[in-house]
Order: sequence, then C-alpha cells, then structure tokens
Amino acid sequence: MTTQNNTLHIGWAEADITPEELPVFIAGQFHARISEGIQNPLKATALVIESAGEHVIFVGMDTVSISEPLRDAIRAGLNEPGLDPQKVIINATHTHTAPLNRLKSHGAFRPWEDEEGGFKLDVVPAERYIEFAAERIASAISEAWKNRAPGGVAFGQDYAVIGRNRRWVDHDGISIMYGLNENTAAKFDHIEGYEDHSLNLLATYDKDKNLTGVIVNVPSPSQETESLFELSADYWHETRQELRARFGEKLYILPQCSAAGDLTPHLIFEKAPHERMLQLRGRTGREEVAARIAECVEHILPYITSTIASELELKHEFKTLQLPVNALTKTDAEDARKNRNDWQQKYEAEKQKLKDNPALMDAPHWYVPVTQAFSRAGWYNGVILRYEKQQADPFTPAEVHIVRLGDIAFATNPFEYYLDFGIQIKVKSPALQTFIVQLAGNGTYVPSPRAAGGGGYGAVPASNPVGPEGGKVLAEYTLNAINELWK
Amino acid sequence: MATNTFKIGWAESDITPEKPVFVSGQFPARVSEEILDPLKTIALVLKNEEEHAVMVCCDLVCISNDLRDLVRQKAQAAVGEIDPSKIILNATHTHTAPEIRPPDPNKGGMAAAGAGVELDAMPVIEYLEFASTRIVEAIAAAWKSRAPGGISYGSGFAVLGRNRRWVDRNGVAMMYGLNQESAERFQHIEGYEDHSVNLLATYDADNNLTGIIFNAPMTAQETGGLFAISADIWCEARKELRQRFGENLYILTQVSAAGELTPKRLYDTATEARMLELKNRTAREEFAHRIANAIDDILPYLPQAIDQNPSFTHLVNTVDLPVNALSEADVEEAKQEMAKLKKTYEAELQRLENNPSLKDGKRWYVPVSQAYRRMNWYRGVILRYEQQKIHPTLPAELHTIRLGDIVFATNPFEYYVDFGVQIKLRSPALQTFLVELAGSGTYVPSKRSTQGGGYGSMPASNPIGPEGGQVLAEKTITLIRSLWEKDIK
Repeated sequence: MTTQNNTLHIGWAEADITPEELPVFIAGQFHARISEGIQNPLKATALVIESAGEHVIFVGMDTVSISEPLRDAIRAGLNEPGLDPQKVIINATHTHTAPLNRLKSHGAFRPWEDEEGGFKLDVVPAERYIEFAAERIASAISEAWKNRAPGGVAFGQDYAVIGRNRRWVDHDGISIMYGLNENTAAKFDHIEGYEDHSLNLLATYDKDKNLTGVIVNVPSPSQETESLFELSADYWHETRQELRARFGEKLYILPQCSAAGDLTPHLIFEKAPHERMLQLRGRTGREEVAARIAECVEHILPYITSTIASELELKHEFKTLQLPVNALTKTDAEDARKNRNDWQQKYEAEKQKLKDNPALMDAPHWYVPVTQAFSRAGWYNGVILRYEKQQADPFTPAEVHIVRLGDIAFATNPFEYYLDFGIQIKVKSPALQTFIVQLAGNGTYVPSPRAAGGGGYGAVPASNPVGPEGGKVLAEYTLNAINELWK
Repeated sequence: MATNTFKIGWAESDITPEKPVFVSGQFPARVSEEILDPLKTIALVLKNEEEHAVMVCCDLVCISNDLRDLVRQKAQAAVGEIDPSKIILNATHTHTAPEIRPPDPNKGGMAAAGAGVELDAMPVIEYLEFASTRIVEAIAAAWKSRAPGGISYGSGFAVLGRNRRWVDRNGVAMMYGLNQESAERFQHIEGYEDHSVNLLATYDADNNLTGIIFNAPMTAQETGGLFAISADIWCEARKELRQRFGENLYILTQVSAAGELTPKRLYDTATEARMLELKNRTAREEFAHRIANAIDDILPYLPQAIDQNPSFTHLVNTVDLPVNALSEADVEEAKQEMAKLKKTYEAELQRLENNPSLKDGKRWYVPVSQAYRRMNWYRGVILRYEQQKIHPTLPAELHTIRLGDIVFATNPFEYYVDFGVQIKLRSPALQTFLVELAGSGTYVPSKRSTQGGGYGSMPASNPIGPEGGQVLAEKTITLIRSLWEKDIK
C-alpha cells in the first residue's frame, strides 16, 4: 500500500522488551550492575507516519542509548514491502535501569570475562539482549506498518518543569556536576546553563478523530531512580500509567528526549522542600514527574483537537554526517594516560583483594569497586585511543534525520546534546514547533562552549568524542537541513 | 500547654489613581489614558506576643523611599502599636501603575528627571499622598482584623519568569531583540531561570483558608508598554485564584530574585501565540492559569501541616553595600551619550516650538521625553561617580523573618537570579521566600552578566554592581543563619 496524495496513514504498535533471560548487566553507571529483579516492564513504542509515498518510523525505547549493533539489528529484521529500514529512527529514553546493549564499553575488554583476575560475573551477554530486543522491536515496527490507516495529527506545546541543570560553576569558574552540599555551597556562583521546560506534543487520531497516541517530547532523560539494581523504565513507567489513566488505556505513548545533555530530573538546590512536598502529596519522585507530564499534556490536548489535520506534507531526509572530533591535545592524552594508569592500578588492587579474600564475593554488589575502577580506566583509555585515531581520521560519523510534518519539524541526533545547542536550533528553526530528538543513537555528551570552558564530568575530553566545535557543526547542519525542507 | 498567641490579619485597599497620572516603568514618559483594571494593595499582619510583621504588596513598579517613609509615618499615627520599621512594602513591578518617585533635580536616573516637558497629569507627590493613605487604611484594617489562625506552606513549579538576556558568539549580551537577523549570532541564553513557586497559606482558627502569599521569580509586566493603568498579570491571576479558591481570598504577591526575568519569551514566540489562540486566552490569562495551576498543585496538601503557633522572629537591618565602582571611562562614555541625547532632546523641543500643533497629536511627548529621560539616565552615572568619592557605599534595608521552618528575606533591588539561587542554596530554611523590589528597585547584575553588558548590566543600570550583589547575598545568608543558630550544630 503506497499512498499517492497527502492523506496521512498512521500506525502504532508497542513491544515489551523486558529481558526474559536474566540476569543482565544494567547500563548507565561506571560500575557494573547485575539486574536483581524487574521493577516494571521496559517498552518500545513504534509509530509509522506515511504521506504521499514518504514515510517516517519513530521508535521510542526504554534504554540508556541505542548502540549501532542494536540499531542495525532492528533495521536488518525489517522486511515489509515499501518500508525503508533507513527511515526508522530509534531513540532512547535514557533510563539508566535497562539492559546493556553495547558490545564494548570504552573501547576495551570486559571485566566480567577477566578469568585471570580471579572472578567472573555470570550474566546473559549483551549480544543476546540485542538479539532479543531487536526482534521484538522489528516485530512492533512491522505491526505498526501493517496497522497504518488513514488518520490525523495535531500538535501543541506547553510547559512542565522536569529536566534540571545539573552543572554548577564555582567562584573560580570551575564547573562541577552535582556535589552541592553544605561544604561546597560556599563556592557556588551560579548554575552553568539554562533549562528548557517546553513540552512538545504530537497527537494522532483515527479517521473518526479518536485519540490514538502521542509523541511526548521533553528535554529530560528518564533517570530519576538511575542507580537501582533492578530493571525499570524509570519515570516513563509511571508516566505511561498516568497518561493512560487520564486519556485512555489504549493510548500509545512515544517518548522523545529533546536536547538535554546537561539536564536530569535531579534538583541541585531546594531538594528539601521538594522531598517534603513529595511526602505531603504521597508521591514518589517518578510519580511526581508523571503527574507533571500528564498535567501538561492535559493543558494541550483539549485545545488542539480543532486543528487535527488528516492531509499533510511529509518530508524525511537523513544523512550520516562526518563531524569534526573533539580535537585532543598531547596534554589531554598524557593526562588521560596518567589517569588510566591510576585507575588500572586501583583495578589491579581491587582484583588482588578479591583473590586474597574470595569470601568478599559473597557480599551483595561486591563487584562494584572492581568494575568501577575497570570502567574508569577504560574511560580514560578511550581518550588515548581517540588521540591516536584523530591523527589519521579527524571525523566521526553521526546519523541525523530531519522530518517535516506540516508546520512542525523533527530533528534527531545520536548524542547527549547540551541544551545551548538545542536552544540555538529552536531559536532559528522556521518550524512552528521543533521536536529535537537526542539519543537517537549511542549518546555521548556534546558540550556547549561554556561547559567545555568550565570542565567537569560531561564536558571533559574523556566525556566528549565530539566537542563544542562538532556540536556547532551539528547545529548548523540541522538548521540548514530544516530550512531546506521549508523552502 | 502554651497559649496560642499567634494572630493573623488581612486587608486590601484600592490604590487606583482617580486622575490621569504619569505611568512608571519605561524610558518615555506616559500619561495614563484609561484604567484597564484596578490597582490593589494587600496587607498581611502577623503577630504574636513578642513579634510582628506587616507585609504589604502594592501594584506598583517599585517602592520609593518617599512612599515607604510616608506609609510608615502615617501608619504610626494610625496604629500606635505598630513598629513602623516592621512594615515591609514590596512591588509587583507592574509597568502600568503611577510613578511614585518624585522628580528631583539633584538625582540622576530617568524617574528623577520628570518628563522634560509640561504634561497634564497628577503630580507624583499628590499620588504619593493618595496611595500612602490607602495603604495605611489597609494596614490599619489588617491590624484590627487580626485573629488567631495558622499557617502552612509548600512549594511547586510554574514556568513564569523567562530570562530576557542572550549572548552572541562574541560574548556580547543583549536584552530582547532576538529576530531572524540577530538570531544568526545567538549563542545561548545568558543565565538561569528559576521556576520555583513558594506558597504560604493562612487559615482561621477553624482551618478555613483566608489568604496566601505567592512568591515566584516573576515580575508583572506582560503588558508593560500600555498608556493605561493596570495590575498586569495580577488582575487576571486574582480573578482566577478567587474563582478557584474562594471569593474572599486575600492574595499577597512577592517577586523572588528575578532581575533579568520577565514574562516575555525570547524564542518559541510563534508557538506560544498559536497556543494562546487555541486556548482563547490572552497572555495575561495564560499566566493567571499557570499561577492558579501551581497553587492548585500545592494547596490541597497543606491543611495537614497547619501550624497555629509558629516560631516567629523579624529582623530589620540596614546594610551598607559597596557601590558599583565607576571608572573615568564609564563617566566619559556617559558624557558622550548624554551629549548625543541632549542634542536629540533639544531638536525635539525645537520641533515642538516650531510647530505647536504637534502637541495636538496623541502621545506627542514620547520622543522628547524619551530623549530627556535617557539623557538623565546617563547623568546618573556622572552624579554617582562624584558621590562614590565621598560615599563608597549605599544603604539597603533588609528584612529577615523566620516563621517556623521558613524564612522571608527581602531586598530593595531587581536582583539577578544567580544571587537568588546562591541564597536559596545556602539558606538553612526549609523554604526561602526571597522578596525583591521591597524598595526602589535598581538592577543588581550577576558577575557573568556584566561581562556581557547590555541593558540591566551596565554602569547606567547599576548603582550596585556584582560586587555589591555578592555582599548582599552574603549578608542575607548570614542574617538567615542567625535565625537558625540554635538549630545549626
């Protein structure tokens, strides 16, 4: 079925991607975490929009990021006539409590296979989860493709305070992530960057104008309870429950994270009043986020039904950009070598501790210090590897999709893209609403110039394969590409 | 069991001028042409056996010393028991209320300049008499109505005040002015936005809600350019709140540190305009909804935490803040700008003299008064440069009130958010209600904003600079902590 006029055809499907083979490694922290249970299910939601032979397929997935092997496996599993697998955009909610889907961490070997170190972590390998999740997601996409039927869309925007800037600058201009406490507060000068509290909503309707699903685009990753040793979709679990309670049990919900590289749901000041209000309301932090999102959606949905469009022009461009890498200096590489060696030593010391006293391995989470040291060493090792690589190849690829749907734009990138770039795009975009979708890929931080000036986690060489220069090239490309679609 | 001596009294009065007045808040003079909605003053008295505080909010751009002193003088005469120094007046910062700073040739600044031409409007001094009388009526009524009751408090979030300053790729900061052309140079929004809402609710002895203090970093200037009298956002917000929470609700508003925030958006303006159209709301009505929604998300949870006998201390201090140290170069620049504006002003006067019929036109006085008042704005720099040689500090009145586990901390300025966040962060109080514009309200810029310059963060805008702002933050924190001494081990 290929439509030849601008009539919109819309299809939805949802897949459960909670791993069935357990335990798995949970991705998102330096140290390893082995899943100890399932707190709530992980989901992937697929939306197909087709108009006049063009199509786009959005997939929102409860995971920390989308590795290339995962993305490629999903696309490889698609075999629907007319469906272009390259037009599938998969974005992560950035929950920090979902299975690892990367084959390698920080370009190094894996600590759980370090037989020589005297220990082995018994988990289902990431390859198996990738295979499982890819199959489920490809099935959902196929189902959404087959489900597509004439329908309409409407869009709107409102505000919800969710993603908070987690970086602060001291009186000497040094930036720090979190860590504001009684001792450090005297050094506090200001919150480094901005916060964006806009929520962009796209709602879909069937031909009778019944609401079928929503894309909820917020500049906040889903990491309210990011440290758990259990699997969870984080606040999107409660948000889905809340949205379905308010707008219908069959509602499809596709989450997207707008540029929010320096934002998380955590507060760095006024934490005590927030905690007190949660207590008074009888809500968890995740339920609070869910309530705010649902409230915001409620402030949009009733007003946009008058604008449902069933015929719209759809344009979808995608490209793999070659972005300049974060140009590392010899000093960066030397500093990284020193740090790597320090962490390597800590790693060896931790292994020795375990060798000397295997009973330590009976304690819960015994593997945290050893894997933390290993992972940190690997993180710094990445800088050394990148320094060597950049001599021959100063570019790194980034897949970017630009979609025009009537008066709105979607612009994806694979990164954790600092907000300043997101605002640049929103300020200059000709679209009535610009849905920026970060983490449509493997998600490394791309810091703003002011963040790189202050340093700190998220804005140091080890965090940034792509630096502010690459971030600027990406913003400029994105804007040019959006402008092209508005010509 | 200790006797409950904590009492609460509320009253409201109307301070809408009865004749055309000078409207305060813009460079050009404006004479009010109509009354869009009434201006209010709301008084809250908190009292126990040892302590009291009188909080008064006014629909005005700021609180001049003249107004404050008149109110205190009259209040003392009207209610002998009140310690006049414990009356706190704060402004909502509506830009469509009467001027309350009388012209003074010895002072610099645009308000002190007057209009530069003769205009038919109520003299400022006359409005001061009128407003101070009405404000004191409210204070006296609140004092008289005080009765046993309780308080409860909570916090939430609402997107209200937006940062109006942006930085270009060369590090130059600007207020507003983001358009298709300038957007090419856009690098980032300069500072932070604070969307926290602090709410204090008061209840009578039977736990019925009587009034609220709504404290948020938002100034009331959504329609600040009108030649009319209006409480701006607070007109619609009061209506919405009373509709939701009771027609007799008293609503006292406070602006937290928001020197560079206004309700205006720098971007996504088309999106927001479309949403307003779809919602069939004006921007002011939209803000009213957001305020009411935020309160709706707090208020239902507060009755369980009503305190009918909170601990209560009220400190009144005048601190000396270092002035914004001006250089000779600042003075030279101010002189050059003054000279240019003087030429414009004289040319405008000449134009009017050559063609008196121009004065028949509507708002004929705008260009001439704009030049004159801007000229005097720069003149302020020159006067301050001379004054700083003798007085390197300026006094600022601060009130610090502990009420149970929360604190109110006032200052007279338009205090940039970075300082507000510093205070909130380091305050030992469970909630810190910062109250800016409890005085004459000049901008106190953050350190990073003066690096970029632009309106609000330049010598002519800043009698107190970032250094003074930091001293003020440290003093405020010290004062708050002094009230928590026994709790801080």
